[in-house]
Amino acid sequence: MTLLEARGLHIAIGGKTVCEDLHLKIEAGQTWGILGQNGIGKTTLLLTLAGLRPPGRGEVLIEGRPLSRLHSRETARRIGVVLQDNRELFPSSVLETALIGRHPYLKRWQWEDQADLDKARAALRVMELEDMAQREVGTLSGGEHQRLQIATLLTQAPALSLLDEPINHLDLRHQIHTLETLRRLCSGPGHALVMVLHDVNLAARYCDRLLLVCGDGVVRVGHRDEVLTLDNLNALYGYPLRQVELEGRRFFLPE
Amino acid sequence: MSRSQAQTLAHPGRRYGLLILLGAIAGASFLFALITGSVGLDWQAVWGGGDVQQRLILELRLARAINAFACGGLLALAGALLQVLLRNPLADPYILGVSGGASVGALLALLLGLGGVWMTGSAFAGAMLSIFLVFALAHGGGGSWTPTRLLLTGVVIAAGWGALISFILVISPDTHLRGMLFWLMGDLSQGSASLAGVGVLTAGLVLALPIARDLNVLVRGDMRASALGVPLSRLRLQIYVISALLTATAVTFAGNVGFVGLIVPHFMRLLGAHDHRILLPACVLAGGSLVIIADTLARTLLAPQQLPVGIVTALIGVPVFLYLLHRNSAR
Repeated sequence: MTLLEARGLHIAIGGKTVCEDLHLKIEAGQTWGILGQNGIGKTTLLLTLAGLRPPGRGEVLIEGRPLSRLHSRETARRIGVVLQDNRELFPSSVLETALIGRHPYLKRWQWEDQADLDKARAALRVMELEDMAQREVGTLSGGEHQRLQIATLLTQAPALSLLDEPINHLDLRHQIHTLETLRRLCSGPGHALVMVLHDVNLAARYCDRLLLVCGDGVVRVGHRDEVLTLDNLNALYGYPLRQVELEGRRFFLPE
Repeated sequence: MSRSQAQTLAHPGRRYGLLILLGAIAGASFLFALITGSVGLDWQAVWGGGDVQQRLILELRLARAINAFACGGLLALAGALLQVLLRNPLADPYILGVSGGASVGALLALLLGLGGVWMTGSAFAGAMLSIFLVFALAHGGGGSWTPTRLLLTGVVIAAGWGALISFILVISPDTHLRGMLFWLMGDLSQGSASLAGVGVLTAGLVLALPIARDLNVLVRGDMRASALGVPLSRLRLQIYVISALLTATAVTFAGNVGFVGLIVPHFMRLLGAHDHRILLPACVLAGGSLVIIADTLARTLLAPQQLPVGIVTALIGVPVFLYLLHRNSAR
């Protein structure tokens, strides 16, 4: 099942072209990684796919229907987005924050019920935040806040999850735990996952499809094994890398 | 308090605990306003007994208490809405220049020796002018309407009004100055109860409650709100119009009563009302009660001298708020 399709997408920001005539199909069960240099337009591309920023040309279809014709609440039940660094300015508990993931499902006068509460608690448990359910979000560390954002996404439980640098601020154990959790819960049957990542090796380990944003409108799209080559990565980062093999897996190290 | 939050969410009946408490406080503050003053009234008079003179005094005090409640409720509700709209915890109802416009209108009327309806109308016209100016300029040039742009436009317009207010004060004859200063500091001594205040307060709450859960999402950022299906530009426009009308109404019939709109929303958040479905009505009840108590003290502390109510709201609010802030950070 195609969850999201991009047709002839043209995106530019600040006078720079991010992509030209980009065609893309994100199928259920896939995990996509977006790689590229700082400021090259990865976030802009992610926001465009999520329908939070209009493309210059082309269109995005969600389950075959143009995004522009979907009601924003309908979109929010299908697509979940985790944005970079978004600290809270007003007090709120960890549990209350996770519960906003239920917002697109509730009618105007409807309150969160026990089922919603159970979903939020389950998401906090998965992200190892259960003990902090009543903590004030302002007192969380950067990593804890990042995990809370992902717990909110899990509470929202959309078919397609788009995450901008989801393992920012996380320690090594939580990086792996988070990526494992996302792959298990957000890219199973009927679900797909798209992540902006900076770690090539983690992208190689967790993503089966990759999207390399190279600048000047050049975007390389394809299966991990076709796209992740030394030449492509050297060009992508403008820095020489070396490829090593260890126990049958490829690793890329900067020179 | 934190455990009760979880229960609040799980059990519909407990959700309204804070509101019931605040409702009781509001009732008590009305009673306090009715029985306090230079002529002492006992409970019997309040419940319909007493002679004609007592009933007249009661009516005057009730009218004043209703005005005070409406003023406090309007300002606290507007403050809570504007803090979300501007995503700025320091925002208060006066930050977008609405009160500046109203003040210029009111002072011009006072300068020309006009009072009553003329002054009210002039203040309201000034507030509306300011609302449209800020709205049009923040929108101008086809640019998008960001909280920062709105805030900057409002602050600059407010500064402009501030200069005009100073100018009018400088050129006014001494005989007018005292009345003008009282108006600027907040004055609830107008006689009759204004149904407009209560009406606009009710309308504001009725319009704000349906979007209260959207506000829970909007405080966490524009992009996150959009991603969760909140129609951003429509919601912003709704909040702006509602809060501007609330502020314009409050300023028109009570002048500048400072502090209430800034502090009451934070006060309620410190008491655990993070959810706007609870926070908004809580602000109305708490803001109204605060101004009733402050106004009652303002007319009795130095009687027969009356103090501007804005001085008393600050004198009560500052220590209470600092205590709460300290207690919360120590926890």
